[in-house]
Amino acid sequence: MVHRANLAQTDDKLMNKRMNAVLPSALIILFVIGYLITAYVTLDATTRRVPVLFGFVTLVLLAIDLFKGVAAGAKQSVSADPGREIKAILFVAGGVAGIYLIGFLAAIPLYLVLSITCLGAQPIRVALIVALIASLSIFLIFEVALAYRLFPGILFS
Amino acid sequence: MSFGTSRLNACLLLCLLVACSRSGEYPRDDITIIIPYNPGGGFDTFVRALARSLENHLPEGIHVVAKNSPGAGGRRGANDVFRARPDGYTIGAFNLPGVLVPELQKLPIGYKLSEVSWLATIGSDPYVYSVKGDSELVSIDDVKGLDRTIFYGATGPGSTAYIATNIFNEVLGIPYEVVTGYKGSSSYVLGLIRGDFDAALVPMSTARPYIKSGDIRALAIVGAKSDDPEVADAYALGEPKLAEIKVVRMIGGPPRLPEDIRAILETALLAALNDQDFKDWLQSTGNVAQPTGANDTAAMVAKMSEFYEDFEEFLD
Amino acid sequence: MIELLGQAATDLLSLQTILFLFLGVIVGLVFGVIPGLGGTTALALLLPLTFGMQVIDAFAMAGGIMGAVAMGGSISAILLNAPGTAPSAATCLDGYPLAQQGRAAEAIGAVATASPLGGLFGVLTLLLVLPLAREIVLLFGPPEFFLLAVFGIVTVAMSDSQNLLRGLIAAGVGLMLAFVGYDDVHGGVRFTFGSNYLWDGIPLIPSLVGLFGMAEMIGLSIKGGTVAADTAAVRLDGVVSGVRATLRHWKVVIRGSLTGTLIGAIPGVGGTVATFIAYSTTKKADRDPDSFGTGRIEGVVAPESANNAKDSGALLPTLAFGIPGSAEMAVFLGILVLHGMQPGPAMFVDHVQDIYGLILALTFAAVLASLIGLLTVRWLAAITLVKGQILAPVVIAVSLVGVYAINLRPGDIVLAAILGVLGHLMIRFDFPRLPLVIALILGETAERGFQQSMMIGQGDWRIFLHSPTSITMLLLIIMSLSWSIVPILRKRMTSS
Repeated sequence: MVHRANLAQTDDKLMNKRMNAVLPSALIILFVIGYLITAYVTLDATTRRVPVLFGFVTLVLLAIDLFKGVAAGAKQSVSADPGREIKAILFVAGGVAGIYLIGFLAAIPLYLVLSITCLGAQPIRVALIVALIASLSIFLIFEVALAYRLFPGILFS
Repeated sequence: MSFGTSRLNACLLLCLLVACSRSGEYPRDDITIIIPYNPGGGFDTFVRALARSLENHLPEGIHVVAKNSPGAGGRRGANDVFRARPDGYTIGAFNLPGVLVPELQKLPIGYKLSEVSWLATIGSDPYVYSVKGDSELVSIDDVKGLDRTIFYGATGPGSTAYIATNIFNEVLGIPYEVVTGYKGSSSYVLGLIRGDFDAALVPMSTARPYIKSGDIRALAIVGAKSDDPEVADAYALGEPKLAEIKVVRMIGGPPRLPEDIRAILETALLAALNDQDFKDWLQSTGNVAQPTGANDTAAMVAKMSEFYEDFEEFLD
Repeated sequence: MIELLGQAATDLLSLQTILFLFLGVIVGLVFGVIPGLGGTTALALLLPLTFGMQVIDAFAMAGGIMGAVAMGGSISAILLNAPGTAPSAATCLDGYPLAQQGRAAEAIGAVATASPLGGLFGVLTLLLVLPLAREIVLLFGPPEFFLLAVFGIVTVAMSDSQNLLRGLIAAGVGLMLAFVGYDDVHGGVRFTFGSNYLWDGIPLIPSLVGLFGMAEMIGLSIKGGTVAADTAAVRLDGVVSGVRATLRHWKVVIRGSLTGTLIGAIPGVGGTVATFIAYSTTKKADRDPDSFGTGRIEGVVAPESANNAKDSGALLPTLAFGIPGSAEMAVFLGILVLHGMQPGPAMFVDHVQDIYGLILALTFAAVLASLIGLLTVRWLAAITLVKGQILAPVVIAVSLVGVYAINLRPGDIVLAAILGVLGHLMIRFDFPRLPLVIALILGETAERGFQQSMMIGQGDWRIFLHSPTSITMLLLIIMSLSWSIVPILRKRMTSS
């Protein structure tokens, strides 16, 4: 029973590895195809000559890579914890969105506190202290010493 | 009166005081001047020096902050100024006909030069028809005598240098081809000296030191009268139309700028341009300023629009 | 020349001038360390302030900034994998792995030694070569630029022999991204989707900060732990071995400096790619090239030597023709013009003394910056001991601010974040990032060079053989290709 479960797990891992080998090339191929379509639609013949050339060359290289990935399948790094990865990326995205909406001086402390506590699982006391020091330093260096007007966010401008 | 109401009154009074202290004559805050090129270039430095001079002719404590907004031959900077709020706190430098031609070609650019609130003209830069210093060509007639396609170097299509090259050769009937894409006039002067092509139309401010050192030779000048009998000008070439071709640098603000603000800026700009310290700086760098006021500037824009419209077919 | 140098030195030695130099060094270090800001931004901020200053003071401050920025950029490259300046991205490659192994102090020590040595070497080369400045700059026309760009891209794309195919793909994508924006040659706007933001192409510094710095920080926040993988193994006193390592590898220093000065002298992109090429050539020439990227000290010494040397090289086209040799030089040009100095043929005649003053300022600044780096190395290396869950969000936040501060464009923030995620994915799936970066930098030069060569040569391909320089470049490309391909073929043949 256990033996069969283990086999099933190994199959899953292999499938995972194969996907990892193939997935990135597949995604980039999609990007390149999008690029080429945009080139053909928006540009005239002379301006698109060189970008299109390189698009096709890259496409060929990607096809080779895809083929290698499907054939070999087991050389990629297995994803340790896709959930955590997505969480980390979402936090950064959220931070950027926050900066865009409410500006640096409001969003950064928020981003720091949330990242350090939720994503980083550190005590909230630490998060608050770090957020305070970092935000203050940023304010002093950029707004005061360098006289920049830090982005106030589209909601406030 | 309850405590709450007196507190409210105090707040209102405070707000009123603050509002009063903030109201008052223009300018009350720093003015931004947009430079449509990268920091460090000749035009950038010129405008920055002007900004400094301008501060001396504005009320105490008002700074003029230069902001670079490079891109697409000056179009992005023009765009930024055009779309700014017409409160007098954003003005910018414009390079004509560089930003004029895309408008004439009806490209999607986002500004309309006829609606810009013109403030002053800084000056103009004529073009020098140049060949390599050791070239055998000494006059335009020699160039015509070569009886083949002449190769020129210039910046991007749509740039003033490109336009000037096209019009010059079309008007004089010389077969030509332009090697475009050089980054800046210094770059194609270098190309000329290196021998990448036969000749080039170089702005005077760039050409001057190279003529002096003998690296390039001037055969003709367009956009200004020639002091040198060996160097032909538009009239000597028999084509007075060519005298219109030059780079003109102007300062303008967003459309619908209130008249009183416009007048204040115009006065300050003209004073800054005529300032002796500024003139001394100009002298030391070989630049020349020919300050003109707002109305003359607006008239010049209209005149240039008409002129270049005639040549529209050659400007692609 | 010696007496002119002496004269320039005496001018520099006034208290006021030295203070300006010192100020420039501090500003340069701070701007170098903060990801996003860099020498170009510092000089651009400085430019209006120099109006009314004496020339020698302005040059002392500018020299201070330029000489110190490299050191600052390398510090954040090593500690955080977040290059403070574009050229410092090459230092990330082995510098960060060293930090991960607890050898940050050693890396900083090596960098602090290589930096002034490289700068000194660059200055000496510059002084020797100054009379030939014009001729050297005139060697490079459109065909040569095209071939140089190809050389750069090929060398770097094929430098990772384990991942050759993916390196090439990364280069291909980089090239595709390089074509975004306004095309100077034909006047069309490409892939901007109607917005103003991409008119000038994909901006370089936000891309680097995202691809290297933020990507690494994202990885750190996922993985947890600290930058130094094993905190027990961190040696805060490793700085002396770092200094010794650089002195031991003096050949690498010389090769790096030479590459830096020569490539830095090429107008336009020379200054930005000099460090990458120094890194790649040192890696290729080594007995064990595959170990580069895992923490080889030479991998830090080479780009660092080039980093300061390139500033001297970049002065050549800037002074001789007013064509900036690097992004910083472009702003420096403005300072020159502001003080009534027109770059060009007259420069070396009328203002030689001031130029020597600048050169000396550059040298002193590099030394000063190194000393400051060496003195603070313990505190700096301690950063690798900070918990990643705290460090990563802070570095990401500061990077986003720094990137915004360059041009005050909100788009830069979004771009850095997107490329941060992309960079993270590239690390995960073994796509080398350096080829993408190099292609992004050189793509425009390559295309422009090619198009213009075709126009000049009227469609004749032999234009690429028309000068000794272009033929040399072609040979270099062929050499570079064979260096990469031959070992692979050999391996295939022996294994089959």
